Amino acid sequence: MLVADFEVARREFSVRVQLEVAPGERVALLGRSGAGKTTTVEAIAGLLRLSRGEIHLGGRPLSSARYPAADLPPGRRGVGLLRQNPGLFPHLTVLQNIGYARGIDAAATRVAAQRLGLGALLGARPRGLSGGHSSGYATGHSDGKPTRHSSGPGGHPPNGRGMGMIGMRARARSAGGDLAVRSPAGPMGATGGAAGVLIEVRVPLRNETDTHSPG
Amino acid sequence: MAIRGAGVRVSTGAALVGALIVWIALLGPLITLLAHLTPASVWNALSQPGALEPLVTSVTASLAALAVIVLLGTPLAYLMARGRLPLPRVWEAGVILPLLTPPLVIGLLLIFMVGPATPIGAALSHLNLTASDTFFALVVAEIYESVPFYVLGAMAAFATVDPALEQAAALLGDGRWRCWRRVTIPLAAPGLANALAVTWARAMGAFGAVLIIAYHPFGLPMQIWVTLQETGLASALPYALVLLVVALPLPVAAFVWSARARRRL
Repeated sequence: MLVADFEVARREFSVRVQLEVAPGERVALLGRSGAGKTTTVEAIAGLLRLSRGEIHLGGRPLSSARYPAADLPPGRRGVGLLRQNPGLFPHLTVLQNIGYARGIDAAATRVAAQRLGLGALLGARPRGLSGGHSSGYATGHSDGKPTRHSSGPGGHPPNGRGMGMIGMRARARSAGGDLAVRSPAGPMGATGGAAGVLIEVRVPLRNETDTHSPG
Repeated sequence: MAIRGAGVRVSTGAALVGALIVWIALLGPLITLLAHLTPASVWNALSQPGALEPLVTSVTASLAALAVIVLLGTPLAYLMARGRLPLPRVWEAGVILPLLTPPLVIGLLLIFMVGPATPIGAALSHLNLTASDTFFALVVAEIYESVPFYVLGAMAAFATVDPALEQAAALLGDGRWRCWRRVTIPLAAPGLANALAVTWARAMGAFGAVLIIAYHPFGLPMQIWVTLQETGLASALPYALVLLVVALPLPVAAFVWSARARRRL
């Protein structure tokens, strides 16, 4: 269960969130640009400090405004954040990008890459691959296996965005990740003036007493 | 249309001629130096006993200055680039100040700040250091003359690194140091190399502040000055060549490397 009850103050505005997402549940946040969707998911992912309140996942505290020094760092929360900008590292190859996360086994990286049809591009850098395709490839099945979704006709070479998402997904999986957050979620990104983010808590949650992290 | 086309051609031609004149004027001193030196005169000057000591002094002092500048200036430049410091303009002003202050004035003020008769000077003397006419003083003077070039260059280099990439690294499990090592530094490296190269050249050539607080030991710029005073123009030229030969390869190599590295990104 994700339990979030917090406030984040930014320079121009503040966002107040009360949210509960049960294991296996997917919750979509919809709102106009500037409504605070991204701020919400960034706070859950640990990229922002809370000004008030707390966030818990599976009974484990992720963030607390009262003890910000004890906030779990982003990479140890078991939270995968799939952003519109995939954050591909331009100085690393495709293989290095996919396998960037700590604790990811090289053989598993190669298998995932082959399954995604990236086998021939492993040594290339992302810049040469990212142009020309609209939304392209993403991953995001609740079982955590990287699965290819394409908005266009099949047979496109994968673009950069998809690989970033695969990398994030792989990380969430390797950390025994419990939570996947997408911003903006593909289909909802196209709903006129409103954009959306999708929050999904995976089942089963890992053992709540297990605080081990591969990092 | 034809007239406008001709006008564009003429103005482009004029701009090219102007650019060429500026370029030749900038290279002029180097060409002049080479024209006035013969291999024999260089050899003659440098084979004198102790002739290479200023070179050794300059290189070691500049390396020491560079080490201090990189160690202290890199985190500062990063924090400034990321806007993490309160009152950012005040910090920027502090960094730019040595750039705007004439080096001679820096030297004078350093005497009043860290000279032997000051509280800082007294504290330094407990560490067996004296910031006047010593190797240590030379390093201090070089730091003051060159540090803004590094901090401002490194700041620009860090500003080119997308914070979203650092966040991506954090989401993928990197702590702050690991993220720095794997993402921030490699991506900022071309800009950092340029900043380092310019700083090296400035430290090697530091003279104004050095003249005031570190007359001894002679580095190359002081050696040029003293030789010029004592024996004249011609005998100072070989040292000028040595200074250029030692100071320039690193910047040139850094510029070439960073241009290539940028193309790869």
